[in-house]
Amino acid sequence: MGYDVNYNQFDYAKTYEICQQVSRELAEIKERVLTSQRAATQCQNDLAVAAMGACMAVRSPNLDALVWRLRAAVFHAESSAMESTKLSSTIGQAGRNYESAENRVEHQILAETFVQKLDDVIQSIKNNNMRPPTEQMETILRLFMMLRPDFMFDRKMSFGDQVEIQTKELTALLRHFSSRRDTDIVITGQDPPQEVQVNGGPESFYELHSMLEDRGPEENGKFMVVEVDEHTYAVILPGTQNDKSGHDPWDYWGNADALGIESENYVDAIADAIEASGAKEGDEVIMSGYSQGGIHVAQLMKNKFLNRKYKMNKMITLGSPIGGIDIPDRVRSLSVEDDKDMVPGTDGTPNKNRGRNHYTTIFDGPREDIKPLLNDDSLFGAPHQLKNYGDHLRELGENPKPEIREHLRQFQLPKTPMKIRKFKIERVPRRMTEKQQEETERRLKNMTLPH
Amino acid sequence: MMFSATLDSMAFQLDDAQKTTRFAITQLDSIGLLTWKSAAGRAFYERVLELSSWLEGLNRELVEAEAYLGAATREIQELELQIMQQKLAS
Repeated sequence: MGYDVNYNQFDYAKTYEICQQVSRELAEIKERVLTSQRAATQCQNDLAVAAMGACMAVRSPNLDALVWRLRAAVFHAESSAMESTKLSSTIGQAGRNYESAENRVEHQILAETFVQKLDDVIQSIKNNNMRPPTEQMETILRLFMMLRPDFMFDRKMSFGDQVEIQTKELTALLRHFSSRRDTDIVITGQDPPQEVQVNGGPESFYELHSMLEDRGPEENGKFMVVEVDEHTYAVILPGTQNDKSGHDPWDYWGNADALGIESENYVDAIADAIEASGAKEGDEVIMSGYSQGGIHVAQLMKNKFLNRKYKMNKMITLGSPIGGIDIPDRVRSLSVEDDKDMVPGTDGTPNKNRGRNHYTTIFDGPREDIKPLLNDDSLFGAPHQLKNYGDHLRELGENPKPEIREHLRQFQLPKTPMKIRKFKIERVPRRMTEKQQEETERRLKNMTLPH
Repeated sequence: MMFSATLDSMAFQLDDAQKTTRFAITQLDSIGLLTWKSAAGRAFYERVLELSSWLEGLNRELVEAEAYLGAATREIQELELQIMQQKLAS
């Protein structure tokens, strides 16, 4: 919010995690000490029984002292565990309180400056070839959220969360009326493998993406798996394709699938393609997506099935609205945005960058030398074009800031030839399971014919 | 030795409890490396330090328990010997 406060969400989250971990450890300590205490008592009893067999009465005073000492240790472990639980609950609540206060302040400020913000938005749209820049796109959505009656009084929730809820509700409604809801996404074709060579730097991902973009209707529906080395594969997902057949999973509807159902219907086809490319369980999979593809990438990084099968630790998104998606902490992510591009702003919130390995690099519009090569008449304008993001990746590779240098090194690809495989996926009507077929047949049999 | 397996297992449990306690103390200490500027933050950290001192106390108890266990082991060995001798004598 631009003012200094004693709050660091990483530190609060870390402390919460530590306190919870300590509580679990203390529970384990208590269990171990209790087991020892029981064993010591049993030992004393067994000793007495053995002595009785020899007509003696014996007792180990040191064992008695040990039992008392262990009783005290159990009590200590128990009270420490309770205190640790209290501390984790306190710090967890403090984090939530802070976020809620921050959200209220943000709502208050926006409500007070509504007219001025609206004017700023209109001006910036005029100055950006009639398309809102990223930040203004976010403001537009925030202004809409201010007008929604049920959100108007719920100021504890962040604008990002509100936009996310709104998007999910909208996509659920659209799905309800769409013929695409009863379809599965399956692989329907595979191109022969090809060998490609890239320059190895961040720009390499642009080179790979450009093999999928604007290649004509024949190439619609395709995505690519790159065999980086024996145990590393990269999955390249394209942006939205202007296909009206209803069969192309990367059409406009693909955005609704990505935001509404977390790309679940893409998992099987993508996992099959990775496997068909030669990946074994435990191999590393780098995901890279442009525009819509980036939303799928962010969602698939969370997918349990893919995570069980492969090491899903790295992702790249180019011009994708992923601010509402909680990318796991373990993931190393690089998100490239252009602040004149409206698309990354359609999530209504900047990227969270919660994990220490999450980086979002925002560029200030297309560079002068690339502008003549961009098509300003495209739907989302020149800043959203893949070529522009390719140029930003080039800039990133040429002159990386010191804090991001090591991060970028993790995304380097080999300069030696790599094998690529393109897979075509399509939406096909969902086949009924045997049980569903039997049920349908039973119903048809019981149906009475009209008189 | 009738009781050696039980006593060894107790020694293992106590050793493990000690190691876990020391690890928990290290974890709590790492909270001190984070930022606690405000009065409330400092008060919270004070409580963390207090908990850490409780764990130090627990660790001392476990060390003492280990010493008693050593003494008890020697004592039980002697008692077992006495029982054996008594049985042989009768």
